[in-house]
Amino acid sequence: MDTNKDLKGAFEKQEVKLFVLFYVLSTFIYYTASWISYGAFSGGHPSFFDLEEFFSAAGVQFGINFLLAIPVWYIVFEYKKNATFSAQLALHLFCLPIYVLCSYFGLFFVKKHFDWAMNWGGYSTVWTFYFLLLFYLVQFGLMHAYTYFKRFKKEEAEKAVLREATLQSQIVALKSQLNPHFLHNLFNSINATIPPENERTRELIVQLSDLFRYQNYASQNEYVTIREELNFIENYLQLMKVRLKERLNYSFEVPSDLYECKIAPMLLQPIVENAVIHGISPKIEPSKLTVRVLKKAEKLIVSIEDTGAGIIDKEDIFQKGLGLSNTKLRLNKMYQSGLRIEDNIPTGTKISFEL
Amino acid sequence: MKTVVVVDDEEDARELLKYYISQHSELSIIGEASNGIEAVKLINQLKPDTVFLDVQMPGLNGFEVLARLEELPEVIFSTAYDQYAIKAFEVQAIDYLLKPYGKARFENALSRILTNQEHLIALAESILKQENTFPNKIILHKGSRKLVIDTSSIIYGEAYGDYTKIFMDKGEFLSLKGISNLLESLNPDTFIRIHRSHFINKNCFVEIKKVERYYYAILLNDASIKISETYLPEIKKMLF
Repeated sequence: MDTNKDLKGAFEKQEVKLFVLFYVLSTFIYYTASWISYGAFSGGHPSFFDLEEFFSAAGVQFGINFLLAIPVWYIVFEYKKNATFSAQLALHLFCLPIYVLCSYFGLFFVKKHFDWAMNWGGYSTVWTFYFLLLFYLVQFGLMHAYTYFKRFKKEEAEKAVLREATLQSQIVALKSQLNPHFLHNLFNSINATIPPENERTRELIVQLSDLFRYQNYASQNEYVTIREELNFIENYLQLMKVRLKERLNYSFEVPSDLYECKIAPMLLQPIVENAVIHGISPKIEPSKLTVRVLKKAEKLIVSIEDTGAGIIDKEDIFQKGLGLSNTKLRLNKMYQSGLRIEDNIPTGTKISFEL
Repeated sequence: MKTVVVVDDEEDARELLKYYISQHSELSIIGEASNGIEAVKLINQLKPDTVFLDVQMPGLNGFEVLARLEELPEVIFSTAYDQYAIKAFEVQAIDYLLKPYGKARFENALSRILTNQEHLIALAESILKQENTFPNKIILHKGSRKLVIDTSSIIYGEAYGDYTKIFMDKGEFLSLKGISNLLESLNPDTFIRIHRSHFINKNCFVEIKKVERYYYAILLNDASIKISETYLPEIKKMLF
């Protein structure tokens, strides 16, 4: 996607800015310390803004360090960015001595060339190496921390999107957030006020209440068994049949050894609803809905087929309400899989997905 | 003919239950209550065979009512949603009536009432235990009746196969727990084992008598129980 590339460019720009800023700050802090320690305002000592003084004391050193950092950064953070942290550490172990030596000798030769004093901040060679080592560790340590933090934030953002999608799908599935205790007690009171002969009405209300009960249960659990989800779908279809009567026939084809498999809740309901509302309900003649679950290799394949009116525009169905587009999003985020929409033979639609 | 009491804080719910119960000629409704406190009074007074008990009620909830009954009847709990109650029922394998219910659910619960009963005792005991680790009431059997007895009125207990016979002023009762198991629920400050098959209530202890080689504990009701050698040091420590 184009937006991805633009974002990548933007990321890198920010990172480059931070990197340069880090160097500028380090250079000036070091230079200030060096200038003060060499005499500051005392007579004969160059001013703070003397260019040659700046470069000989700090500028060149950090300039060389900056240039040397680029190939190291490239190797560890770009070329090997997906390696394990221990692998990256090993790379650092390799690059570190090279970096330190190149930096030292680089500066050595520049100083010789400009005939600058061969003092190293007043410290011996050992301490100069120590300083370079420390600097290497600090700058790459900071880079690793930054990368890790960025990755963490990205994961958190993705999790939030998934949570939101899951929540939306449950709100849409049955638009009720009423207190379940109140709701089920109310249903019971309604049942009590129905005349004795209307036992069938009471049973319908019991079934309706079970739909709400499952929705509540599903919203509190990350996974449900296939058995539980199918019981819910059957309940749902039985209630649909009250309206559609012979126009709706349904069957489940699921081997019993798959009943206890765990899946995310409420994945099937929007698909079934879509099949009934847009496929079966508009047709005058009876149609059949089949829910199939099978295991192929290590994956579960779930398919919902109907012999209804069929879908002409297979992209359009995602526009109608949140149900299907939400399912698609959840399948993508949780299982890295998508919804497959095909025409059924002789008529109707088959929607399937893999887990 | 079984006598039934219906307990639910909603009048409509009671009416529906009464309607379903009336379709069974072997059940006869002798009373109804609309809150926990009324329920305890009524059930202790009328002693019905079966009680339909709602869990969520004002005053005392269904579990609290159960823990305050003098004698345990057959109980069918009902609840609309309470997760905690449903969990407790599942743990004890007790069937319950989920609201809303139609005739099918009602009949189902009624038919399972007998299998529930043993589990009901376990549930009642766990409720009593929640209030104290050594509850001051336990459930004992006399014939087919299940009574909730104050532990302080136990004088002594005697192992009886897998069960334990309990002796009180009121008479002889049976606990379905083995003697070691039972002692775990009894406060060791009050109850002490003096023999592989006997324990006594320290508060009912009068004196020790020695007859030939053996020591006997004499209790308030004149019962005389042999103290075995294993437990003798404990008894001596207790006295002196």
